[in-house]
Parts: sequence; C-alpha cells; structure tokens
Amino acid sequence: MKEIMKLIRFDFMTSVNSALPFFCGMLIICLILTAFGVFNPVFGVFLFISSAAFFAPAQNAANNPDFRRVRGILPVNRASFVRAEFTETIAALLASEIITLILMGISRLSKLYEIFPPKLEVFCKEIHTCDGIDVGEGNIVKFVHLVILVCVLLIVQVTFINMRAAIERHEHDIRNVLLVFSGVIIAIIVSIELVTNRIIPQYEEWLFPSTDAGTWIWGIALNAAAVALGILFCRIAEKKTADYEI
Amino acid sequence: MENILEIKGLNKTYEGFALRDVSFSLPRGYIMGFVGENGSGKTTTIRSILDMAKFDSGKISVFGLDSVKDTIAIKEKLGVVFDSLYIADNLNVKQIEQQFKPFYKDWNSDEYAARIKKFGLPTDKTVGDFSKGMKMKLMVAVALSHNAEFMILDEPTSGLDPVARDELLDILAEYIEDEKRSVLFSTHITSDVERIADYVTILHNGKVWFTGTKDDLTENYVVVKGAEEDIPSGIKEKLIGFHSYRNGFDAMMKAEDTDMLSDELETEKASIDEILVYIAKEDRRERDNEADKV
Repeated sequence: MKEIMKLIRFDFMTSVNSALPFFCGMLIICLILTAFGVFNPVFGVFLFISSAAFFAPAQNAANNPDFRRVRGILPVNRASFVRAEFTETIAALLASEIITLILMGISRLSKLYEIFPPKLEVFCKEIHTCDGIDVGEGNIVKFVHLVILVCVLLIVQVTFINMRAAIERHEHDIRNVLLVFSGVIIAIIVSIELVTNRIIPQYEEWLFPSTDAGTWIWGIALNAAAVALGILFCRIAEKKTADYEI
Repeated sequence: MENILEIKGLNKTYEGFALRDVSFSLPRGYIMGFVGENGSGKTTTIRSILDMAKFDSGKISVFGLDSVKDTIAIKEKLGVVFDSLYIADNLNVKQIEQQFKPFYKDWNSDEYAARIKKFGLPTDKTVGDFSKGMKMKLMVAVALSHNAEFMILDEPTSGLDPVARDELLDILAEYIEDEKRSVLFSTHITSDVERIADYVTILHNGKVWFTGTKDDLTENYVVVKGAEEDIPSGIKEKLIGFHSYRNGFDAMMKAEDTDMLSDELETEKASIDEILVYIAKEDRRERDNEADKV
C-alpha cells in the first residue's frame, strides 16, 4: 500500500501544476453557487471532469514510451504501478461524487439567493427548489440519483478504458473520452425513458428508490458494485501486463 | 576484484534480432564503455539489466544480486540515465525532488541541492525549458542523490554539444573517484570511451565481439595499409574488414599477427572508432560473399 501511495503522489505531482488551478477554479465556482443555494448537479459534472485532470495526464504520460521508462528505474513492484493507476482513478471519481452530493445538501439549506433582485431571485428559487428532472406524468428522476448513476458509470467506463490502455499500451485518446461521455448519456436517457414510459413499472422502485433510506442503500450498493468491477479490471490489467516489457 | 555487474550467457530473441550468449563483467571502481553500432543490442542489454526486458536465458547479477528476483533492492542503489527525458517536463527541479525522494531510503536532499547548484540548473524554470544538456544533468543529479553505487547511462552524450559532453564525462570520472562506484555507459561516440573508460565491451550483431580493458583493445588491434600484392600468403584470412582500392588496401588485424607481415605494409594502432568501422566492414564483406555464393 505504501508503494501505491508513493506512486499516486508521483502521478499527482506530475499533474498538479495544470490540474490544481482548474480544479480549484471549479470548486470555488461550485462553493459560491452552494453558498447562494443554487448549486445544481450539472456543475457537479464539471467537478468530475476537473478531477480527471489529476490522473489522466499522468496516466497518459505512463503510456508514453519515454515516460514509461521511469517504471524501469524506480524501486517499485510492477504491479503497484497498475494498482496505483486504478486506485487514483476510482478515488478521484468517488471524491467528486461525495463533494457533489455534499454541496447539493448544503445548497438545499441555504437561501442566500433571497438577497438578489426580485427577477433574479425568482430564477434562483426555481433552481433551488428543483429536486430533479420532471419526466412527465408526475414522474421525477431525482438529481441525487443522476449524480450517483453518472459516477458509477464513470467508474466502470474509465477503469475499463484504463484496463484497455494498459493491455494495449496506448495513450487515452479522444475516442475514449467520447466513449465515456456517450456511454453516460445513453445510460441516463435509457433510465429516464424507463421511468417516463413506465416500461418496467415493477422495477421502478429498484431503479430509482423514492425514500431517502432506499436512495442511500441503492447508492452505496451501486458504488460498491462499480468499485468491485474497477478492482476486477485492475486485476485483469495487472495479470495481462505482468510480463510486458517496459 | 569484486564485480559490480556480471552478465553470463544472456540470450534474448526479438523478431529480426537476437542477443546471443552475451557475457561480460564490470569490476567495482571502474567505468565501462559499452559500444556498438545502432541496433547491435546495447539498449536491449541495458533493459535486461534493469528488468525492463525479459530475457530468454542467462543470468545477470548486480551487486551480487539477481537482476530479476532482487530488482527492487538493486534499483535502490542504482542510478539510471537515458538518452531522453523520463521526467515530467512541466515540473521544476524542486518538484522533481518531491516526486523521486519518497522512493529512495537513502535520498539526500543536500546532495541534490548541491548537484543542482553545481550543474548550474535553474530552479525557477520548468524542465521543459531546459536544454538537452541541462536535462541530462538533471537526470544525473537525480541518479546521484540517492547514493547510487552504480550508474547505467544509455547513450547519455548523444545530441549533446561538445561542452556539455565534456562536462558530463567529467561528472562520471569524478563519480568513480572513491573507487567504490562504477559506471556502465553505452555510446557510439567512441572518443568518449577513449577519454574516460577503463573497460570496453563491443557488441556486434547481438554478440560480444570484445570485452576487456581499453588498453587491451587498442593494443591488440592494428590497421594495415599498403599494396595488395605485398600481403603474404595465409594472411588475408586474418584481415578484418579488408577493403581494396585502386592504389592499395586497408584492413585491421590482431597485433600478434603482424610479425608475419612484410616491411612494405604500414601498420598503426587502431582507434576504437576504426575497430568499429572494420568490424562493420567485415560484416558487410561476409554478407557480400554469401550473396555471391547464392
């Protein structure tokens, strides 16, 4: 574990100059919106994207033939490089999810938007009271569900792409990024469609639980499943790349 | 004399290339120049030492430890410099220290700071703004700051201007002054080897053509020139890289065989550069002969 932490720090240092200002900028914007009670999970998506700035450049660099050679120099087990890559990816995405959910919670409590001029106040109030997406016929897909769903899908997709990149030894490219986003968007649209059209009403409560307790259990179960899949992809990558030359 | 590096019967096959029975050793306290033309297997040998390439058979020992089983213990005491930068170029020297320091038990921050100062590396610029010579010095500073007892450099002087090359060679010479540390550096700039190496290993087509002291190499081979008709019978087979011109020929041969030469032929000590050229010529001649037979 010590080795993995050292490697995560190594990767973090590689990306910190470019990622930190970007992430801090996003976080400050989100905090201001939260303080005024108008934080919307759409901004959470920007947090997810900016968290990727911490691990993606270093992981890309690791697949570059020149930079990869550092793996042959450092006194570290080969498997630790793979494990560190997956650990930092999952940790960054989970941290973004938790921050987004906390900010959503705080935003619900704040009513600072009431200091705004009347027109702006009305507009902000609409954002503040909006609990989710109204999908018609009294159905609402809650934002909290969407945030969890997006994070879970991102963990699965990004770790899968990490596995492919490690096995095939190529850098992440724009096709991978498009694959991630199209996957997330398709999954959300399909979920909403299922709820809107009551295609499988008997599973609706399972798909998007309406109670708080149900939502928490659902969220934790989905995240745990995604992390388990991520670990599985990590093990596959570790095994397949064990005999690779650096 | 204790060997810091020992390679025995190293074999490694790639498609279209093979290292065949590579064996050599480097005693503690000396510098070895590892030379050969491009594609001769120098980098593959170095990658095998570092456990970056998996070899088919053979054994590599560094500090008496097995290069595969004990690779982590070896790398704790090993400094490595490659021909191109493996460090993120968006960082400054301080950040690079923070990156590498946690991996080495014996990291010495004072030593690193002293090296950076001595090498004249700017602390306020990112590595991307460094010249090639500065990048090389930075990799050397990293390699020297964890008390490495053995340094491996792969083509460290290629692409460097003469001043930067000279500085780097001085650093290596100073590094082994305590006679406890060793350097293995691969290069095809043979003047660098002539300047600082104590030992030389020549790799040719994946095989060791020569390994031993530099003096043994340069004293054992001579360049022969003269008219072709003055070559005594039975000597032509002993000539390496024989090449005839309109006015004569030139070739290389072992110094021990020069007694058999006639006085009309001129001989002079071969430089490492000439030795490499004649090895390549001999190779080409053999290939041409094979082609003629076919």
